[in-house]
Amino acid sequence: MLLTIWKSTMEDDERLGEERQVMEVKLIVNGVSESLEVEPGETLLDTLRMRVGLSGVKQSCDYGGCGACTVIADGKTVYSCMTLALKLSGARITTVEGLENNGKLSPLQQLFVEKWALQCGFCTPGILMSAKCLLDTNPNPTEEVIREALSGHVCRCTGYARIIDAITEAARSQKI
Amino acid sequence: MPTFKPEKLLRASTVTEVLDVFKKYGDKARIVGGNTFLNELSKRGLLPEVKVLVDISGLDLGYVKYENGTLLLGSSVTIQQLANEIRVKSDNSLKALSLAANAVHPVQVRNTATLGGCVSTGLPFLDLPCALLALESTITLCSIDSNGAEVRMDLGDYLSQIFKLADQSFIKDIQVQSAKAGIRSASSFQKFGLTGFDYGVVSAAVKLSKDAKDVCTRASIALCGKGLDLERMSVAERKLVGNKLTQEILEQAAESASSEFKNMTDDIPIRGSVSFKRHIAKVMVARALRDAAHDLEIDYGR
Repeated sequence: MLLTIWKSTMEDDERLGEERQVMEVKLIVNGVSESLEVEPGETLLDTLRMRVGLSGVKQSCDYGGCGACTVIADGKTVYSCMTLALKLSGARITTVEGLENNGKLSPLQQLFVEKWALQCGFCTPGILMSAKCLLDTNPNPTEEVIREALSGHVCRCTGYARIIDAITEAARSQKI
Repeated sequence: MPTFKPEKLLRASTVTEVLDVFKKYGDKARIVGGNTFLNELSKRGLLPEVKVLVDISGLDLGYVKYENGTLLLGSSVTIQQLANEIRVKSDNSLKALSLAANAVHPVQVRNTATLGGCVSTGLPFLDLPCALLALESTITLCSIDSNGAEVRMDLGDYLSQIFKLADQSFIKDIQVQSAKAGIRSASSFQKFGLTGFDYGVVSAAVKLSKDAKDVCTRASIALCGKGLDLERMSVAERKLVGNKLTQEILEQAAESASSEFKNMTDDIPIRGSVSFKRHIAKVMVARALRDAAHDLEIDYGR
């Protein structure tokens, strides 16, 4: 398959500068298999928002500085704004929409509400994904580890303390 | 602003296929690894000429191996992969590499950015190239000039020719010598940034080797930072070699390094004045040397 793609593009020099190639990428997004046609330079952020319709993934700084676009790809947090969709072929992607269960907030989301860990909420989907990924791999993180996991996020409303409180409580109560 | 709209993404599975792209498309082609740096350049409108992306994940260069006392790092190894590598963490002679990998923030970037990408950008303020330079690393390069044959070269030589090599070659892997039998070595890395996940304003990496009498048999000191060249501090290194590693000699080497580094823009302060950076350089080099000396169990009068 890859060889076929390779040969077809290498022999197709005259197309360069005329039109963009569209390629197929298969992703498992929040447990659902998606087969999508994307452009070569398309970011995962654009694919998730524009092609899959998941607007919970936020576009903000767009160059890996704020964390609002964070999703989990194969168990690791990534900035979807700087990850090419085509590079993640076959990957399992989890977005904030994948946390709820039958319209009910996950325990972690509920703790964010109860602890007032959000105000405007724009950064919250990304922070939730980092918190989820952290607690999945380290159920008993120290505050230092939580701060390190959140170091790639910017929140201009809460001052972070309540976010850390919510994650600490989620770890303490084992509610993820 | 010029837009970045690559028209093709080619998935190469052999070195020959990658080099064929360079031959055919020249500077219109770029290798894409983790896309962290390419993304930043593209969003700033600095890659309007790029039409073809080459994905080298099919070359399986995500390996970390130990062969005959040498750490072999494939160019697709992610920074997080390196940060998690137990043998790198536990080997004092490679400690600078572990510290530098963990100094890259945040985890989202560490999860995607690759070692090959980090080195081939040639940016003088990235953490890992500084550590790799102090550890006297070598790289395996595949280039058009050698018709695909692998060429081994010192990292320092590569960095000095990077603009010439960028469009016609790529890094296959990086080799780092671990401690040799009978020789005690230790390394360290220290970074000063303005925020928790800033690039280094000034960062220092060192490696020291000593004999049984605590005399330094080999030393390397590398400095990097915003507005600095990434390079070895050879005068400072010479102050250490052949001398007993005392606090006084470590301080002298740090002082020497702080006056030795070149600042690219003396008239334009980038993240601080030159005098500020020289002061920070002295502090960072001194800390790194003391840390390495501590791991060598030297009583240097701390």
